[in-house]
Amino acid sequence: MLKMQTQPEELLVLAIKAGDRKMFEIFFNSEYSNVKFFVCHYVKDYSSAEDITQETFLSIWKSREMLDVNLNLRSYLFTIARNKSLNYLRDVVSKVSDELDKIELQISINSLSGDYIISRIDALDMEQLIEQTFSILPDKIREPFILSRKFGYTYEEIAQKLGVSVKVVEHSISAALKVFRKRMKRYIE
Amino acid sequence: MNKEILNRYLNGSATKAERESVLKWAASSEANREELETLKAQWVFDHLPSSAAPEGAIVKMRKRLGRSGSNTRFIIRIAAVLFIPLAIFAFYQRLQLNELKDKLSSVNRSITNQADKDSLIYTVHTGVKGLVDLPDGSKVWLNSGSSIKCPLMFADNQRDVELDGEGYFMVKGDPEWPMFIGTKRKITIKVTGTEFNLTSYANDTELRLTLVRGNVAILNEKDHSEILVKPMEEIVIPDRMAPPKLRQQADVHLNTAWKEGFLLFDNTPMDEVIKRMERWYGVKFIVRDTSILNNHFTGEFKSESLSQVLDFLKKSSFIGYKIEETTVTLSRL
Repeated sequence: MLKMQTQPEELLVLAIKAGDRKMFEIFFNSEYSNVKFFVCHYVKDYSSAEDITQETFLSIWKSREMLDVNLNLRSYLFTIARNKSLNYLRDVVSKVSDELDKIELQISINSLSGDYIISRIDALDMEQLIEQTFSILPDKIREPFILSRKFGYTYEEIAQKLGVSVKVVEHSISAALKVFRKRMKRYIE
Repeated sequence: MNKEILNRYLNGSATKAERESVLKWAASSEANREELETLKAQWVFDHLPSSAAPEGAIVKMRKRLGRSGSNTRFIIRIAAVLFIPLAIFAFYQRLQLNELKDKLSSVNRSITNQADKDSLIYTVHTGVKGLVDLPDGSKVWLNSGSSIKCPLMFADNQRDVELDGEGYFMVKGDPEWPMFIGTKRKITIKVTGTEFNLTSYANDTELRLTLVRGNVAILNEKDHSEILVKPMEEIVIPDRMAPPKLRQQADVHLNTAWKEGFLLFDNTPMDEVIKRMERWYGVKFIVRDTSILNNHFTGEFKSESLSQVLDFLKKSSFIGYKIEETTVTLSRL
């Protein structure tokens, strides 16, 4: 049952690697606005940002056969967008003369090449995984878990709210934690 | 630096003077500049829109992809159903294409493209069951190891779907808009609003239909016959050339208990018991002694494990078993 370990991310990469245009379009459709927003924030010029966004997706498609299955596609996508934006900004900064524009461009370049942005790009994968993990929890388990972890209710309060015993709440939360621990393994270790 | 001005600068709504003040503040010290650099990155990641791509961008990308890649679906067949729906779920959810949320826990949904028509295929693998919403609001419970195919949108004149396996159909009533359920055995079921259970696994030797309410017509391509079924009737059409068997007082409970999570046998021949258990538990059976197949088995199980059912079989019919991973070997005791 080795296949049971396969994660959704891997399946997406596998499909794109195999040249599945439909899957690629789904990926494009779900991430385009995010990448465009990100590039626009730094590049400012709308039509250049649009070009960079398209180029970013296109470069993934063109090199699809070389994709590594263990790769997080979303983080990879933003890394490419970041690099392309950096190239663009470095080119522009050498051409501007206005002092304020120069300062602003330099700030954008530094911001894009700093450690903080790398940590956020890496975290994209984890954020998505957390969202997904929440969504697969059965309602019965999710509710007490959210009440406890997001709203900070005690087990007794949750038991009362949901009309179940404290034992059931304890059990649900430990079941939820188990699922999280299993799915987030690679970040915990 | 004033927080509100900083925020306006980051979201692009700052005035010219405000922008100037922010940039001058940043240029005045290393610490300020670094703070702004981090804030800038933080802001953009905290505000990602996660909305669907505009149509124009998709069209543009399609053009640039040209004819590369394949338009046919990359079929991922996998033992566990849990993970594919997740991948697809994550993307579709953001696209707000469908409220697949709770239903997808056991149903694998994939898109296929045939003759320029997009279809959806819902698959429920062995060991699980799932509920599928059809585009017209009809619902189908799929039993283990079953799949149903339907278009993204039904045609105006009729609703075409294809079933392989077992499904309990709750079809939205519309006499002007019949639903045709194709099977893998040249038999089509025509319905207009009804509830029934249809079993037509490709690896079975017959088609079985139990009508709970409404009317259905069974259209047999092989002999061009049309059989009308009445409520509470059960009909079995064997693959081999033999007349269909009709039972007027169908055991609806026996035939539909699976969707409530019951595994039910009522003097059921052993070969069928094995097939159903294979689907139910996602295992394969090996029968060492063919005389076992002459047995019949009666029992009702809800949340029993595979070995509990097999223990019951052992006590009642003197059939021994051995489980190795996903293979069950049966032998005479």
